[in-house]
Amino acid sequence: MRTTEQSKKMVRRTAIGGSLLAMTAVGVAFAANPYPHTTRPPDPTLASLQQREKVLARDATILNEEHAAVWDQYKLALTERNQEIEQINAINSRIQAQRSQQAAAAAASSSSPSYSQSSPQATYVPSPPVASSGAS
Amino acid sequence: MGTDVELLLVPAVDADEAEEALAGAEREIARIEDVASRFRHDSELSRLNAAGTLEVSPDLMRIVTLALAMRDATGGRFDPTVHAAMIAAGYDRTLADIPADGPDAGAPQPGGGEVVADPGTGRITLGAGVALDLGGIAKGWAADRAADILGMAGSCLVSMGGDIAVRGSLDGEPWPIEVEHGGDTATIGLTRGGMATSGTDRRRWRRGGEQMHHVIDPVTGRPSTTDLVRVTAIAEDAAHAEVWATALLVSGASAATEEADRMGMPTVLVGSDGHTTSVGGLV
Repeated sequence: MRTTEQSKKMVRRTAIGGSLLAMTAVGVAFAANPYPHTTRPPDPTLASLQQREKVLARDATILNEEHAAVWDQYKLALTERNQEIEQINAINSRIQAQRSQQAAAAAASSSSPSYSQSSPQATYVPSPPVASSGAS
Repeated sequence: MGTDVELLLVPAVDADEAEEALAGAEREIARIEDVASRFRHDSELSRLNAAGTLEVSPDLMRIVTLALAMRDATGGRFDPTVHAAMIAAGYDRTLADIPADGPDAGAPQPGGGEVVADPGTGRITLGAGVALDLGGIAKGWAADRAADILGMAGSCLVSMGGDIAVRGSLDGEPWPIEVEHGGDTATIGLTRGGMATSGTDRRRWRRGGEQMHHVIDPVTGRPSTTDLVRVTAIAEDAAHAEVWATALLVSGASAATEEADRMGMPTVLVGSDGHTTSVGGLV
């Protein structure tokens, strides 16, 4: 039994070693012939298309990156514009509120007007006049 | 508007621009006269009075709505619907052209006439038999608008026959303006706004033996019998000054003193006896 097992292992080793050898032989064959599956030279059209494909892929990448950058700028501008609109709306609201207050104050004062001023609007002065407020 | 106009400008611009501003102020006054003079038969006001209803310009709408607001504010002592009473009293032409005597003034024509002014549609509609006289307030309004234009070129004073509007100062000092009182004159320094004088002593005439003047008491529909002959009022602009000068004149000395003091409106009251009083904080 022991001998048999040892014998099987030997066989396996041999078989594995043979495969490795075979692969090595193929590798050598590739090295010797870079086009093992064909005897034709490389197609220049195909190479050109492949090169073109690479260029297009690269361009697409660049365009995608540029588009992303522009889109980011647009979103940023949109955000800033929305903020400006909010600020303008806030200012308009304040102006509307002030106008309403002024209108209410004017309505209130129309029935009881007041001309009291912190500084005098008119006083008697000794200067020679430049005009006359004649009766009309 | 049958009155002299005086434009004074302390220019803050070059000579050409100053001339342009002065010309612009003159044009503005002429334009408002085309709108609001009752002495011009082709004015917008005359067409409204003739038709009873009219879609009017924004200028006429503003003057009329201000006049109606001031009728309320003065409790009816200023009233633009005393046109019929003025005609009846003989004031159907400029003051200088009124004959010294004429027939009886007829029945009294009180104010309080119906006027519907709708800024939304731009239409003014007068009640039956109602016509508008905007003489005083339109003069003040014209002075204010001319001052708005002239004021863009520097400090200025605009006088429309004594209805005065100022913008800015006269080299840092108030504008010195002469006011007549009790046979004498005084000078009032005006720092801002407007000043106007209303009086019954400027021009008088007779109708049916009765002495007339152009200040109608809207309550009686007759020339006012106030114990004041002249009131000078100072307000936020010439139009308001003109209205209050007339309203306080009609009120009489006692009520005018109380009201001017209450409002804090600098005012000079000249009584029929020549006694002059400064009220409303004027010193």
